[in-house]
Amino acid sequence: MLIRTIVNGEPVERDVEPRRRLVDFVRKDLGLVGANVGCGHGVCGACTVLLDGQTVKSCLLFAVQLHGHELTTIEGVNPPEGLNEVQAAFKHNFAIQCGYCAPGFVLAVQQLLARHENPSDEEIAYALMGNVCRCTGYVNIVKAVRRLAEQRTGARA
Amino acid sequence: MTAPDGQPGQFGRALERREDNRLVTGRQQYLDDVVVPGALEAALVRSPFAHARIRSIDTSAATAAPGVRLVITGEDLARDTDPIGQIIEGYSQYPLAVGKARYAGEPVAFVVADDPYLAEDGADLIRVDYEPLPVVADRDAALRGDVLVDETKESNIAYHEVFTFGDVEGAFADADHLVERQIVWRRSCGVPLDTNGAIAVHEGDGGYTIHANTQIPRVFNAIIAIALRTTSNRLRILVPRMGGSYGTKMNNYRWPIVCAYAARRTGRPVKFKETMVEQLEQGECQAYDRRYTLRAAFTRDGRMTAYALKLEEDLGGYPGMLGPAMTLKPIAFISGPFDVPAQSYEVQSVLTNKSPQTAYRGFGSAPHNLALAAVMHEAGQELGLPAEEIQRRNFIRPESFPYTTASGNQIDCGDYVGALTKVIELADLEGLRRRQEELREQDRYLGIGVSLGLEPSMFDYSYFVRANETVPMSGAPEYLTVALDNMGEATAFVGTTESGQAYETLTAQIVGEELGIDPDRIEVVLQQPQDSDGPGFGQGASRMTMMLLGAARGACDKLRAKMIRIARHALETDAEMEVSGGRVYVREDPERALPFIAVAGIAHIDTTKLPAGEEPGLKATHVFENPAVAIDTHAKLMGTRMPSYPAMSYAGVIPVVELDPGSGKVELQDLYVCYDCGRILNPATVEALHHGGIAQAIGAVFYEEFTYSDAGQLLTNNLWDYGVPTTRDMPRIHSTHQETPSPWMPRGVKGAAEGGYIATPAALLWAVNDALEPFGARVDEVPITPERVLAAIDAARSGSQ
Repeated sequence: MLIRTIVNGEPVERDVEPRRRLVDFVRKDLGLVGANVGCGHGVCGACTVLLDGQTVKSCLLFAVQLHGHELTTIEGVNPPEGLNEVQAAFKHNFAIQCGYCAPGFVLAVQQLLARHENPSDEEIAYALMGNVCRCTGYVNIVKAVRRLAEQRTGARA
Repeated sequence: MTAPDGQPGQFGRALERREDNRLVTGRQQYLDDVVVPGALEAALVRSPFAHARIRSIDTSAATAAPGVRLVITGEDLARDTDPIGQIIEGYSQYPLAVGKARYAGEPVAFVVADDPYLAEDGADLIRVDYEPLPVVADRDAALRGDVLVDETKESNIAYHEVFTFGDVEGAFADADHLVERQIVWRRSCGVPLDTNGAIAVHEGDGGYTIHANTQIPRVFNAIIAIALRTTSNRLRILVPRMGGSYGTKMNNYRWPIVCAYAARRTGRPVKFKETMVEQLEQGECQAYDRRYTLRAAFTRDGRMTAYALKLEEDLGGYPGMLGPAMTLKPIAFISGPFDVPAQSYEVQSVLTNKSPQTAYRGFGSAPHNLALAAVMHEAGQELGLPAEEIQRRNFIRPESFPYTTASGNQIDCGDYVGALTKVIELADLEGLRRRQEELREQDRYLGIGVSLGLEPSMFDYSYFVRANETVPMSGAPEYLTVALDNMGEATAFVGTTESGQAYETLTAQIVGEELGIDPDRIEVVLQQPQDSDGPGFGQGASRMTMMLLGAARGACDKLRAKMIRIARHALETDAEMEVSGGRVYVREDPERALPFIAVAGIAHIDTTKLPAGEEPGLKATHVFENPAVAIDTHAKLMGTRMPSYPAMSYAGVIPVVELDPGSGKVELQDLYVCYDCGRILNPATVEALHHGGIAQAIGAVFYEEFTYSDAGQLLTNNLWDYGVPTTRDMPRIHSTHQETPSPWMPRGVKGAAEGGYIATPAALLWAVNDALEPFGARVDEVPITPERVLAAIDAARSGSQ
């Protein structure tokens, strides 16, 4: 099936098999390998991408469902050099260990902070419960989000 | 903190992780990102039965299916490869089932096709004629022995040994008070998100290039080479950074073997990567499955005089390479932080129709600590002693170090009272207990655990192979190379795999400390096994900081000596010289100096200025041996294949839970911890590793279980049912530490990466049982599910407990 979509701001037109998973389309057909395959059944969030700005698990969607929608992957939020604010907060707070979950968390945090400029710990925990990390116990991830939010709201105050 | 020349020291410095730049941008390459042009991909056929004879496999339809290039079954491997020897002598295994399947999910056929979708289509077309056999579903069925998991054996008992130290029965006869208890630790494991896999290329004539996310390729390359009937030097194993391991990826030798064999058969590269369901079911992902029968003798005033432990381990369908060794490690610290004169340790490991085991963080220590703490808790309750008091009365005293445990293991140092006191203060234990009292009046049930557990680190190989005397192994060295290039810039080379520990940052910090230069200027290369400058095991047993510090000292000593020889010759002096701050200088006249670039230039590209006979180049390697090898008592242990763990870290943990007796739900609210892992190099990474271990402990104690049905079916083969903790399952963690430098380890450091996981479960069980005390109930089994809590309360109510 022919699909037309926008990926990280660029129009893309591709012929894909109807059964092809979105995560395979993104990783193998487009070569955007930042999203990782973890559980493959919608729990771990390692394959998180943004569909029209909302986090989705790309292992649970078919590539054809992308037709007419806009996709953003971690590559789409990476600055050409250096780190964006969320990524830098993760680094400064030692939030990541093996990093397999990191691209998914970065996107989930960006989406959270776009909606709540200063979320509570409970709101952070709730927003990130769809992303699994086996290394960090989430402690420093939550800390990174809180500090970044404080920094942003403090800077505006 | 500051060297004489103004270069800041690295100890205690929270240096940011250089790896993070790749990780948070998704630029890190993991196995699944490795592209090998022309690679075929594979899918599996796995046994739906826990125990079944394989009468025949019809591969004809699959072989004829579009895109399918090859189908392999166990018979192919039995013909063309050699079996994987096991850590228990006399057992063996093939990567695919041969003749019969011994657990549900055991791989039976491997279908290679142009892409993974076509491979799965092909796998669907394979018809296996199974003859289901009676299932050995658990330990008790295994002991009955009427059905054999391995039919070449006379029983399902794969290993049985009793270790007795001191007059155990005499101590029991004289005891004022006895505690008897059973504790069950159900199967769980690390469950990394990056599943096992491999991509293999056959280079011809027995040579293979194999990309694999395997944790210890410098040791288990032997398994792969033997299986493939090739020589180890013809295996180029390339290990990408791994998305988590926690020990589990030690066991990934199955896919390197099968993919390499398939690559040879097809003449094309072959890739296979497990799905999560496959990972959870098929033998590289599950760990300890234990039942403890415990007896302890106490004096009236709460001194433990004897501890007798029987450990029954359910190994699953094959002994494997690691499960049996994990039952032996705790012999190094049977009575944990407590000074107990008489001890016995009986281990009985059986085969059942479950998945075999792999390693998990701490290598068998977490359940051991939990069992011991349960005994202490019960004794304290019965003798009327608070948790902290009964532990204090039994702790090894600070002046007793180095302390020799019952089995002969010498522990370097410790201040257990200090760590426990510190965590008690951090938690305000008195305040917590007042709050507990107040809430009980409102029918609310707070539980407080107070437990100090040990984290053994710095291992040697010898006890791993206790059950297989055909394998001579002992010691466990590690190397580090440091080099200055033609412009005087430093690069360090180390031989470990990486799965989240930030070894590049760690190595840069260590070499920066040694050479007195800024770590940010030091490049670090994790060498692949075939490129290694020396022998090594790599990550495991929380050993790398100690090993790399020792190796870096040796390598930098050699490098410095050479730089000084070159500088003396160039400066025409015999004066004493120092190397620091990027310069080689005269000690008494620091202005007389050569910068690294000048010394390195002479060594590389201006070599006629070298002293006579000096070899060009600036590169030095040192192989550092486990320091325990040089200690007589430890060397003796290694000679008798007994576990030696000289560097003993520990943590005092106080969790606070609230129990809802109506639903059985336990809410973990706060967790206080004081860890002591000797001197700390990077406090931020050490603390982060503790957080991760604590989360895995919470998983094992409350949520995670590989639950098998009576028919041997795994009921929790996905992450919906197998409950890994999420952000919402984490308590507030309050941590502190104390530093008791190890007298034996380089720069006084000890292991730190496993303590959160090893010490926490005991404290969590203690907290839950503390909350259950008003009901006269207790749980003896982890994970502590609401069902198990309710069953405990019901049992207490009906008076059957």
